[in-house]
Amino acid sequence: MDEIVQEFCQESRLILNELDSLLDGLELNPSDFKSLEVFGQKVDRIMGAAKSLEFHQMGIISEFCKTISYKSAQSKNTDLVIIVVAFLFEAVEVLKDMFNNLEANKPAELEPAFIKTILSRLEFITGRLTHIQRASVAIEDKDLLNLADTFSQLSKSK
Amino acid sequence: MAFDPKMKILIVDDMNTMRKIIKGMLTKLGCDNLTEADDGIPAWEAIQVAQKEGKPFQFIISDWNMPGMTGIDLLKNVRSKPEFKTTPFLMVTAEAEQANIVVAVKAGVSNYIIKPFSPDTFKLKLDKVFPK
Repeated sequence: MDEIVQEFCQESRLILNELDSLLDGLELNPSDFKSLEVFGQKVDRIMGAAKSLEFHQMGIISEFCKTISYKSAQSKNTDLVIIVVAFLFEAVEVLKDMFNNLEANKPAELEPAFIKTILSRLEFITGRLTHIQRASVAIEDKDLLNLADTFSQLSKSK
Repeated sequence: MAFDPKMKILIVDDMNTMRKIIKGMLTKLGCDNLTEADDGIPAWEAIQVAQKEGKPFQFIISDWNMPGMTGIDLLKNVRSKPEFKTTPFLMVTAEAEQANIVVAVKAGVSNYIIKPFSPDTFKLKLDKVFPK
């Protein structure tokens, strides 16, 4: 195995354990929306590196996890968070299986039918959150206000 | 200013793997004066220390989404000091969202690159940051 892939596996394992701990906490306290943002920030790391190393399935699953966690954190809906946490637990387990494969020098990719099922579940949850725009780290309010000004000036100048 | 492989470069990312990927791409381009930071906070400290020591970073490559200080806040800190107003700053981001890009451009980013990227795309971005 490439040294970089080996290090990616080791680094991601630590992150996945941290994700598990965050989900454990959220299971007990689904109103801890800050932890969902932290989850999104941490899974973003796996997403970026997985995509860069061309582990496409890992990248897609991590991206769904990131979107779902950031968006559900903003929903402030504890009933929704309870469901989201269950889905995220499952997704983290899938990611762990992929890393197990990689570390055993097997292809990281899982059976297409299985991946399809997982992705359809993640898509289902994402579909419930389409009204929430922000799917990543927050931009400061004043930046957004400046942005609104910029767009308004642009539309006036047309 | 043209790209000089001998320049002092700071790579900022909270994922060691990503830093290694970027480092690998820069090494292939002949760069060997590379420093790493795992968040915007130590990066900002390193930038100021390097300046005080008279050996400032000549190029900063930073991830956006980091837990302590985000890349956009690092960029704002950098641009808030006259001595760093023109330091080339390349933002690495997973966010292709228009709003993020506009915010980064307004904050004075030199250019941005969206993950994942190939060595060729990376080189193209460097050429844009450092036009010949």
